[in-house]
Amino acid sequence: MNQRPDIEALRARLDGTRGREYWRSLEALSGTPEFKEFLHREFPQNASEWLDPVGRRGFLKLMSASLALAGVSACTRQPPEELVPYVRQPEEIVPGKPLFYATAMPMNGVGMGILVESHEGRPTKIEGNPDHPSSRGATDLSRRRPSLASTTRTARRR
Amino acid sequence: MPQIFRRSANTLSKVSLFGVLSLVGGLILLAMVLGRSAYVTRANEYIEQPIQFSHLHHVTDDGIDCRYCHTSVETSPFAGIPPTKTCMNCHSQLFATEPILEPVRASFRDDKPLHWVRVHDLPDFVYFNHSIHVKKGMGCETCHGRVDQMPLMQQVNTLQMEWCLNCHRNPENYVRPRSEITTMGYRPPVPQSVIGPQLVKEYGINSLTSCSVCHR
Repeated sequence: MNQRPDIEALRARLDGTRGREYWRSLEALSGTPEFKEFLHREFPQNASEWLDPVGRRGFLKLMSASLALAGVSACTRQPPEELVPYVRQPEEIVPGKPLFYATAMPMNGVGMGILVESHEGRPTKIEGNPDHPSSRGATDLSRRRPSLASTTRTARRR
Repeated sequence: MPQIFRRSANTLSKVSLFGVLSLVGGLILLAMVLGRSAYVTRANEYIEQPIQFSHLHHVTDDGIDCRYCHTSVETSPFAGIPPTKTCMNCHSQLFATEPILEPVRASFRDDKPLHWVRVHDLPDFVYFNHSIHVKKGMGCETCHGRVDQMPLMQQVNTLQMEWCLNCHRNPENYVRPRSEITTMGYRPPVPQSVIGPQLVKEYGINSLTSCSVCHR
């Protein structure tokens, strides 16, 4: 509705009228097909989408049915799971229990004492080592997580 | 005015009334029975494994203790599945050329692990710790059944929460001395009603039934 109404045409339309004429906007006065289409879509009581109740009801029915049946999808048996033991189990490992390694990582050119929790060779958590003389258990939060992510990536690359 | 309903309508109305009631009741009953059935719990089901390993042979014929292979059952949440090395401790000498053991030798030779299929599978939202159960005098047999009589491993119990609570509410009915943990076919020397409460007291067994004990 951005195009400007044709003033000449409006004048011509109002030319022969007498008495009081009311209009809401110049577009309404002009009564072009584009404006009628706009009006048709703008107001719900006239909107064309609402003239087809069957489709909408069918949609709602389907939606409610699928919602009601969504819970049924939980009624399944557990999928089979695999157990993959070691071929040669490393000596220190107790299956199901993590190992902790005291190690260090460089930070700003200084070694930071850390404890790494490892599950079957996979590092899962890095903590500061409270026994380390310089940091006394403190770690740099911003460095800790990226370092864990980098170890995981290295492990995956292999 | 003619009668709208015939005399048979009386019967029909009664039948349909009770029919609907019994149908609803029957459906609920069916759901409950099916939920506990072996079909859902996978109990008493033989599962195809890479090697048809016989607990019957290794436990009964050879007299090997459970903990020779399931090493971490006393110290860890997970009882442990033996590494191929454990099999090869004996089978590098015994039946060393049997074709049935070829997957074991291949695993050891090529450094490729064996892929077993889990028989006792708890849902992932349940925390279970083997070590504490063993420590408190819960025998292997109580949950896993007569493993010494199983040519192929199978699940005996439902492993459903109802079944867990059965013991968690009344541990004195199932507890045994720590020395008898791995015994198969255990019979209490004195009646369980006498020795049970004694052991519960001695081992300091708490009847833990709050949700967060297992669903943590």
